Amino acid sequence: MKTKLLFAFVLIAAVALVSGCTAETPKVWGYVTAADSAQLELAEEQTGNTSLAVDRVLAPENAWIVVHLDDNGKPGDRVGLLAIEKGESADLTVPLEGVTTEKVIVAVHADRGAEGEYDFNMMEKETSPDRPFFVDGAELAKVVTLK
Amino acid sequence: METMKTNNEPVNMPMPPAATALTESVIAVGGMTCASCVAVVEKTVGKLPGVTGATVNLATERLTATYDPAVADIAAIVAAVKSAGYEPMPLEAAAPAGSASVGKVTLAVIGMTCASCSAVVEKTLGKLAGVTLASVNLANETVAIEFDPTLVGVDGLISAIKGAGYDAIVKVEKVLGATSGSDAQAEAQAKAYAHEKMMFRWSLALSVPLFIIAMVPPFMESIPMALAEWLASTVGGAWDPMQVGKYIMFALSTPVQFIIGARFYRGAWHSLKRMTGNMDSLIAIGTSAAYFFSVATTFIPALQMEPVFYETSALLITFVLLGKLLEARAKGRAGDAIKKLMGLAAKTARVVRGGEEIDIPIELVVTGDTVIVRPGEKVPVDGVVLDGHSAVDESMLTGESIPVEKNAGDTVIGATMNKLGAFSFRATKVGFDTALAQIIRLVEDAQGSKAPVQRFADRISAVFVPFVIGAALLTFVFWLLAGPAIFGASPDPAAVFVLFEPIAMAAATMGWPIAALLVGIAVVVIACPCALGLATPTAIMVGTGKGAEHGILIKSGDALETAYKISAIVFDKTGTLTHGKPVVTDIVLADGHDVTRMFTMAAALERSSEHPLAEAIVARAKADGIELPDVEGFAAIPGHGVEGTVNGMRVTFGNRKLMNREQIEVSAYEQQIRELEDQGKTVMLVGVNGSKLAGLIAVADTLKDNSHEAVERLTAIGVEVYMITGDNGRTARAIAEQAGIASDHVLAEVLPEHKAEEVAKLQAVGKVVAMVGDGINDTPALAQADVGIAMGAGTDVAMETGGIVLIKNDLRDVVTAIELSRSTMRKIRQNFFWALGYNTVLIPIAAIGLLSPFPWMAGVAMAFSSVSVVTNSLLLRGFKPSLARRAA
Repeated sequence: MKTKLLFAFVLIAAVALVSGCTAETPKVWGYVTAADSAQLELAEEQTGNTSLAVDRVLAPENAWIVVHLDDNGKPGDRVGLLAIEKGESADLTVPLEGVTTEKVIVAVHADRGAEGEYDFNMMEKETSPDRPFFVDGAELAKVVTLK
Repeated sequence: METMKTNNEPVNMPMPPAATALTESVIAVGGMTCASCVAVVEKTVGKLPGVTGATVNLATERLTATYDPAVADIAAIVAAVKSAGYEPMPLEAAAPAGSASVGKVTLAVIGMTCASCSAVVEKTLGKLAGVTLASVNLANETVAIEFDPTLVGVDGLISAIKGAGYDAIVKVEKVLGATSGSDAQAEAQAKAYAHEKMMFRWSLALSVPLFIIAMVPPFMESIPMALAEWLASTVGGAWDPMQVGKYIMFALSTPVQFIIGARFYRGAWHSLKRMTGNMDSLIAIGTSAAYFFSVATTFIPALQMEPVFYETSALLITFVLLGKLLEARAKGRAGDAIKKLMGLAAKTARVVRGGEEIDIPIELVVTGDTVIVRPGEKVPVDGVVLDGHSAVDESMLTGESIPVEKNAGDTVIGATMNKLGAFSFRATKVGFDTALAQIIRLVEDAQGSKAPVQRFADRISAVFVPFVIGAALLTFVFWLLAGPAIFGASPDPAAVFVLFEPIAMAAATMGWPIAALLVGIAVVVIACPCALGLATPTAIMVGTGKGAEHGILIKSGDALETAYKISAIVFDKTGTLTHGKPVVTDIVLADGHDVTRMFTMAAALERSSEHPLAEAIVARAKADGIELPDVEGFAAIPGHGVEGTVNGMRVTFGNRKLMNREQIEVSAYEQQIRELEDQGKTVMLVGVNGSKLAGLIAVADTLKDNSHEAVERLTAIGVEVYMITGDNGRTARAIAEQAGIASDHVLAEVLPEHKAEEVAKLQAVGKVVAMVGDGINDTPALAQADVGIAMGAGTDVAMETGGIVLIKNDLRDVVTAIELSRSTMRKIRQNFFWALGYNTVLIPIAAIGLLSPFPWMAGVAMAFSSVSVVTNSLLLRGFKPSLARRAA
């Protein structure tokens, strides 16, 4: 038993040392929800860069529709924000401002910080309260081309 | 049941003014973890009115309390120990040993109906030779008998009662004694160990997944993620995997903290009530800080973004438990010597009861029983051979590998192995009076005794816990305030000095308050002095046990500790350096005489003499198979010798004065006589028919085989060797020369009552003196010496005398005892290094934050500290005497 215990101890210590060196950002850093609880439906090509039409959105709690510039496939500066209620919302229009890219990224974030205040900082995305929803391991987001 | 004995030894606490008889009780105490617990128990019990001494041995987990039975009692002591938060268990200890020559038995008598019946039984028994008391209790239908077992046996008593018309059987009563107490303690310890093992397994089972979720990257993400997904699909809503991870860790760590770790809170609470601290306090503080901080960051929304340290508290507890578990196992092995000794005892005995031979458990053998021992069987108890003869292997007790011949009248020792012959013997010592039981008790007492060096550990432990808590608080406050001032609010780990990298990294990722907290936790846990409490007692346990294995009974930790300091050793000559029995060493024959003729004449005369030297002559004649004729006209001439007529010849046997008186010319042999006398030998001359010298016989007490080797070795290890004797200087110097003792180290012509003064003189010049003697005549000198070493022989061990008892009559064991003492003290010093070294080195390491990434490693280090100390003590089991044992 003693040998096994010592072995376990050494193993744990080794793993601890290794793990301490290899910590990195997790793939899922927002709120995990089921596909039937959070959905986002909108046209992938839209006209004009001052507003965005969202056909239907389903949120498990009060949330935000957030529109970012496309920074080479990653979300850039925020150009649109619209608060939505828990449940299903349809035919929404998100006002846009300062769109400089052809494509924008639309995501649904939870409203878990101060209510009605968008509390998300991309630099501290893992610890900000209003993080996006994730469905099936991927962020609930869509890329929309604006013409 | 407490041991009732008058305590003559110094106790820790001040003695009351009245010299009342004190009682000593031994209590097993469970739940003690470190030296601080020892201090708490000692203080708590010591404060009770009437208690004059309280000494705890952590290794044996026993408290020895000395108290005035008129003021205090065992119940009050037990209650006090309990109130201090520990689990007391009074031990049944040995009942006062009765006189070895008095047998006591209680017989159940069947058929007694009235007072006259009881008178008949009492009278019948009273008439038997050897029966000193027979007292019938009619209500119980028993008779208590005291008798001399050398004159009458239990079987004889029963026969007598049967002869009077009644029936009788031996009444079986539970024997109270140390063994049953020890058994109860062993049972409790085994139970506690099993419980601790189960707790550890649970702790490990909960901590490993906790650790994986907290520290191992693929799992720290995937497991909370999987659970969050499962919750989302079953319960609905959105789940933060990080928060889910915290919940899992909370669920896993809470039982560890409060169920498995409850003992630490209990211990901490009890010590807090007494305004002291112990290992439990430190563990409770350290783990609680980590745990409650984590709980706050799990459930207080404003803090939810902060990290958790559930794994720190759970792993700390797990590793501390692991350490305790390994320590308990190792401690168990330290007591192997006692188990080995106990295992020697026979389980059953074949006794004669009612004229029949029956096998009975050894506990039922009573003094006076006739015991039958067949070839290859163990001798069950001590006794005197009645009939038959055999050779008995006594090596298990005396270390003597050569079987000892046993004939009628010889003593046999219980637990020794009979060889080829069969014999019966009368049991004279049973139960706790047997030599084996006494040896076990002696070793147990020694293992439980506290060596003076332990006081050093106790003093440190008393101040250590408050010091550590203070140091941890100081560390926390220092980093909280000075951290940001020195390295900045968000330090760059790469830019700071390498030693401060871990804390800078912790501060950069979690902020200074958390980094400071983690450092404080590490300091609290790493500094626990539990290893310190084990440093001395474990080494003493193994050391005294090892001594017992070699036939060296070290009676206390005190003796073991002093023995290593011995700078001078005084040997009693007769019976210690020498055999103590004169033997014929030289024979010089006059022309026309032969050995047989000369011994026939000398031994025939000496057979009637009571002079001690005569025994040597007669023994030699017997050994040579010489038939001794009758002597006519025997006369002893005081100061000269003896004379008489042997085979028609007038023979004179004695010294030169006798020869002069008889006008027998001895000048031709003068040179030889002087040479022999210079060698310390006594020369006796044989004159025939008042005119001629037949020859001369030299007799001397010879040196034991191993004396020279022992003296040589003692000198080699830097011990000055002295010899003390009442003999004249010439004889003494001659023996000293043979033994290798310098002539200026010979203390000759010292009367027994002045031996102690000679020892004191050596002490006065600054020497640490050991006196080696036979334990009877040398008692004052043994008591005066810093260490008294009593030489025993088999059953006649002079156990009451001296701090160290050598079972065998082998002086090399003196060397072994000193070597063992030195090895044990070396181990104790090493243990102090291991115990204090950890704290000394690791407190600063923890304080500067080097353990910040893994604060639970403090628990690992702490466990390792205790285990290393106990393991180091166990290494003493490999002790081997430097002098080779006699070949089998």
